[in-house]
Amino acid sequence: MSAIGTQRRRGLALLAVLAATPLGLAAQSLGQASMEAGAALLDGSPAAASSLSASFEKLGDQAAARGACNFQGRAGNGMYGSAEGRGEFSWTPGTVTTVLAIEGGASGGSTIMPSWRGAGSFLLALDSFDLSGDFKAGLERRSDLGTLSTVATAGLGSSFTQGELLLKPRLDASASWADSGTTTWTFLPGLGIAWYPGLPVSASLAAGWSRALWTGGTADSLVAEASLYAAFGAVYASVEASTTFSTSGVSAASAALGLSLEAGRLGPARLSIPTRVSYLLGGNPVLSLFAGVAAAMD
Amino acid sequence: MKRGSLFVLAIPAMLCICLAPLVAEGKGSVVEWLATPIAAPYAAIGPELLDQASLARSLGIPERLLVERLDEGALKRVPAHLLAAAIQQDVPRFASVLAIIAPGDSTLRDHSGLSALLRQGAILLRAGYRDTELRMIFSKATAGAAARGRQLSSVESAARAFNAAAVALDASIRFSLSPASRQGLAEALAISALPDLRFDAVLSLFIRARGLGLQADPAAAILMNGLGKGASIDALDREITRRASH
Repeated sequence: MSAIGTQRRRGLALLAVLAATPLGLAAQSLGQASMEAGAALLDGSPAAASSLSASFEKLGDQAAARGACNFQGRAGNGMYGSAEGRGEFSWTPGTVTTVLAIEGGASGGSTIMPSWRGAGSFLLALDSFDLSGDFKAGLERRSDLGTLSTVATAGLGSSFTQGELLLKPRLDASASWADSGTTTWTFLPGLGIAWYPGLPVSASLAAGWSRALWTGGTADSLVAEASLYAAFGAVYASVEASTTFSTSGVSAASAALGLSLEAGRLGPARLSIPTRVSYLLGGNPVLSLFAGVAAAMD
Repeated sequence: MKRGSLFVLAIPAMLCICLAPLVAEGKGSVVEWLATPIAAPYAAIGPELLDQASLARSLGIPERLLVERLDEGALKRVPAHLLAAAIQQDVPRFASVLAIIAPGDSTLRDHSGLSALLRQGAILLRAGYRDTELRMIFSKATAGAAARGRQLSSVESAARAFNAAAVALDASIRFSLSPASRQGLAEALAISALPDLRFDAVLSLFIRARGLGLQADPAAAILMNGLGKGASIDALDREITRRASH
């Protein structure tokens, strides 16, 4: 190897390090764990519900691991549980962010068939101060209520700010190959709007038109979701809603209102008292109420 | 400074706004203030106040800043010994802020924006910042602009640094951030590519992070990491959203 080549490589390596180095801010690690347990009322039936989540992340040359599990026991109707995990590695030299992730999860219950999924995904994002763009791709293998399928996804998106609004147009496409032989293509152009007003309030709205194509048929639907988060002193409020309107009417909808009261610290843990009301429409409508205690550590 | 950080500075700022006409009417010096009816209960501490006024003048601190504080104390009916102690603590605070903005630069003492910056800096010191912390935030504001090819005057750097410090303080009060996160967030805002008027957007980003399941200090670390790399609101939104726990 020539001396000039070695020098050039060292120079490029130095430039790469400089480009990837924050302006005087050191890389750091962060971790958090939280758990929540409480009583619920699911369509009039008492239930116990709990969840546990943990994550660890090293910022800088970013690597992260996250995991979560949920458990629900319903009087007279058995138990339900789910668990999921995600590992990712990302790096951001200059204005390009690349994220590689693998994730998987499983769920099931005494009266529900088990489901599982495993997926790998890739994200490439380019940022300038006024405009960002990203490309996502993923491959997933899943078993949903006994149906095995493979799903490939790809999406192109951009985002730019207009005053306090962040506009996020994007186009997603997916192909799902069921082991039974059915292939379904789905295209979803949409627009997301996030509001960052400079107050402890944030809202987002995303809507898109979805067209699913398979041999011998198509289905169109309007997919929309909205969220609003706000803090009033020690109370955090959240409203989340999503709906799918298909040509035959509303095929699925959900809405949830949450209030969480910060209740101080117990040792290293921050305590809060979360309450939620949620409504799920899709098949049998389900109204659920939840109240519990949550502890979070970071 | 936008709406969010008013939480921290609203009361002192409102008092200053209310008191400004009084000061403009001629009560620009402590001597003149002591001659007003509102100062009658404070006659006993007059000599002490005049000493502090003399010290302030010698340090290049506009005397009307002391008069504003005296008016504020008198309106609140603060006991004389507490008001004297407050003024005694304020003068070194103003001097510390002046030393950050204009160390040894007497030409800045006539700058029209200097009084506002001294007032804002002193409020930040009273709110819990140390002068070394403010100095660090100031140096980050200067360095951040220089890295983007822009030279800020010391007054511009101070304005940016104090806005960053105020927003970080606001966030630390609302979301119970650790002192290290507060300082890190203030430095990251100061060095960031965000314009001062968008600093308050981090309050909304914190709320979104909380709604998506992130705790306050991890959210602060993510924001600090992004801001330090020059991230825009778009990029910060993506960094938070992809870490959503649900």
